[in-house]
Amino acid sequence: MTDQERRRMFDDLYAQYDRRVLAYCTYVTGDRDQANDVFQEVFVKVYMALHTLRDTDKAANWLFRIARNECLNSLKASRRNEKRSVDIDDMLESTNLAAPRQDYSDDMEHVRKALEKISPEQREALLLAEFEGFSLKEIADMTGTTLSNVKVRIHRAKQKLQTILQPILNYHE
Amino acid sequence: MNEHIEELIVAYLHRGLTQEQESELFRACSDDPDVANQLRNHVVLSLKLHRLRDEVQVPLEVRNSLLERINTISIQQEPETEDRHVRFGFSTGVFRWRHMLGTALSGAALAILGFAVFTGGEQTLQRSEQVTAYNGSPVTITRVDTLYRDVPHNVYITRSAEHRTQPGMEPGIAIETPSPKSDAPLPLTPAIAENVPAVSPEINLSTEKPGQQEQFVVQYNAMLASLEKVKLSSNDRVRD
Repeated sequence: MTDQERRRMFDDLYAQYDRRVLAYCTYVTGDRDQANDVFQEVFVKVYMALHTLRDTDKAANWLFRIARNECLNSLKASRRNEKRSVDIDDMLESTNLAAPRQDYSDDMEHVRKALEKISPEQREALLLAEFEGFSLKEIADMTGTTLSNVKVRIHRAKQKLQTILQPILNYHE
Repeated sequence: MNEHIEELIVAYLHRGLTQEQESELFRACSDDPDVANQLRNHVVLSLKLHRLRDEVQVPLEVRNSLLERINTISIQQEPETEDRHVRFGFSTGVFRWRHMLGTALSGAALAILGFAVFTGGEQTLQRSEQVTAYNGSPVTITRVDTLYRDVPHNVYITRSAEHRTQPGMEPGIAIETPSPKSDAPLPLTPAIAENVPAVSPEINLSTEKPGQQEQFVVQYNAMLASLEKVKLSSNDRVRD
């Protein structure tokens, strides 16, 4: 792979997955700054390992496998076992969202806080399923667990979220 | 709510159902409004999670920092790119074979070219004008770079009419120098035909710095030494 090809492939992957990877890292780690660091590490590793990506159809699986590993490594390194709350206002301000605060839906605030209340394994499986649309089998492969475990984790995560968010789920989007 | 139905709903939303299981879920939805309502709640939750994901933007400083790191890595890795062809075992053998074949072919081509150029009679790629050098020897001027062969008489190789004109040599005539074999870059003046006004020399030695003059002289002499089948004597060397 020439350097030009590598750079072109990297640019394509970055354009397609940058926000998605950051969103995944943000809600898995629960910390904005940590998520930014992990985000950079993920794409550096992606760039370095591009020559190992044989099937571009599986680029998302490959990339999020790297993202998952980096998130786990970061969480282990920071030795955080407790659930961390995300400073949503700071994150939104730093992302230059133009909408003023009063336009933020309370529903989304509830959803964010509800995510903090589920376990990391359940949250990881749920985010891979909901944020990225991976199938249960793909999530099982990426997380190194069985299909039934993934089903159970997602099921229990959604049960908990449904219970917490019941009031707002009765309304259509 | 039936746990089994709940699992079916979750699996349905994440492509984890067989066709039979899908049919079972749809039957349950049509038979029980609560099941349909639960499925709808799951869909609404999914939509809210998608919106959460879509709100995230990559901060500009994070993006710039990342791209800077990538550019640095890219520059550092450039020399290794060529080695990669050798590292992979499956391509090493192919590379060697192709390398050898290419070397053999290019060597044969050079040998044929050299044979044709240096052992044949006078050959020119393009003939334009025949002029007479200062000592009466015929010299062929071409408009493209070519190698001169079998010049029976000593000739002077000059750079420009103004600075290299020798006694007896008609002004305005410049003899194009053959392509130098040395790697030193030599700005060549184009050949001109007879009766064409003298071209402005690309190298005006009178105005060049002494060090550069010496460099040009060295280059000229190196070029002279690389010519074959041209009978030159020490008097042919270009001097300042």
